[in-house]
Amino acid sequence: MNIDEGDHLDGVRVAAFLDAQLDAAERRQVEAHLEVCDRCRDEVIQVGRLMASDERPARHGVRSRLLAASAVVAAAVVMLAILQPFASHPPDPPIRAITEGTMRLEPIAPAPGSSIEGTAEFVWQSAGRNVQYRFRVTDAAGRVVATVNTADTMARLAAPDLERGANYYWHVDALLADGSSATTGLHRFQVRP
Amino acid sequence: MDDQAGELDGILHATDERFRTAAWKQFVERYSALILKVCRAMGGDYDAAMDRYAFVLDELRAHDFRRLRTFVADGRSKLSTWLVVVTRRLCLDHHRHRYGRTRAAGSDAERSARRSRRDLVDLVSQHVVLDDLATPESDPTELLEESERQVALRGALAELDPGDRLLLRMRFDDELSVPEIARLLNFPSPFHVYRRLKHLLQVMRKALQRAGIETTSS
Repeated sequence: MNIDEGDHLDGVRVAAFLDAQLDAAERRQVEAHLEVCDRCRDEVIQVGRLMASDERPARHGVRSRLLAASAVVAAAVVMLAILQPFASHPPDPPIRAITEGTMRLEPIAPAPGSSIEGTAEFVWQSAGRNVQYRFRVTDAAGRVVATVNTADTMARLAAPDLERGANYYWHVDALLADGSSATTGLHRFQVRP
Repeated sequence: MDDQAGELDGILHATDERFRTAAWKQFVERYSALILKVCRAMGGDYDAAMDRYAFVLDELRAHDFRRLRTFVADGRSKLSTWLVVVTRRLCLDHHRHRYGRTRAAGSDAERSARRSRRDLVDLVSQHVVLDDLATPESDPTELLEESERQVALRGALAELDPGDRLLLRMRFDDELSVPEIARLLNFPSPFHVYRRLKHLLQVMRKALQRAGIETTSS
């Protein structure tokens, strides 16, 4: 067996080592290489840590997604019952469908359909620790007018930068540490005329 | 791991482009969370992680899914393990493409620097609990004894299995925890690692005693 790829272990061999799938002879050769090669040994350590963190949240993550999906459905039914009588604007675009692996993130402020003036604060539910959020505003034609990347659960938007009386839509996408994602879906607001 | 080859069969062997596209879409849906997790772990903000994610998917598709074919041809590891390895490597490639090759911050550079200052013999000798090591101010007799200790330890280390030397390296150079070592080297439990380490240090002490060098047992 050659330790090749420029004197470093190839990817399939690293993976087979971590999964304990090498035969005895090859394992000895890989261990001998890892003992002297800092780069390959560091790769084994880092990949091992990524795999270890992937194993623990899996069951919890699926269950929490199912619970989140159920809560969203119940909340959507309640929202429809409350908001239906007050519908005097063109209907908001449908909340983005929940797809497999995407959790729902609750928007907190401003309330859907409200008007903003001055500098408005947009606030959303936290998706946990160590999460990156992307806050985005689009106009009625779908053009992006503002994007903010943040680790906070709030973004500010200056109303004077937008067209008075026009409708805009904001949404937040979250990228969680375990690779899953969450979204608020689209929510409408208007700039006060 | 045969079922994994089947899972990739539609991507690698479908003759109808529609089936291949559907199979690829299924693969992406199933493994996106894992790939994104690795991309996210490499640092940076949301956009940086998504850039790396897009790059990884492009590279997995490149040259008629060459990397996936390599995985299937080997067939030993789990697809998820291999994906973590290759995603991490592609993220590093992406970083080099954008920013050039830089000296790795943190572990690699630090450990290389440490190794230039001491090697496994020094690390193990500290844990075998020798008498006071010779200093530059020591007399020639002490320097000679120190040299003999080093030779005896090197000889003992050279006779160990590669796996045992790797264990010592991970414990004393990488300073990994025993549970982490147990997981990486597939020991049944951390207790087995402790027992092996204790055995190895006893082997080192006996090697020194055979060479006529006194040690202080802890």
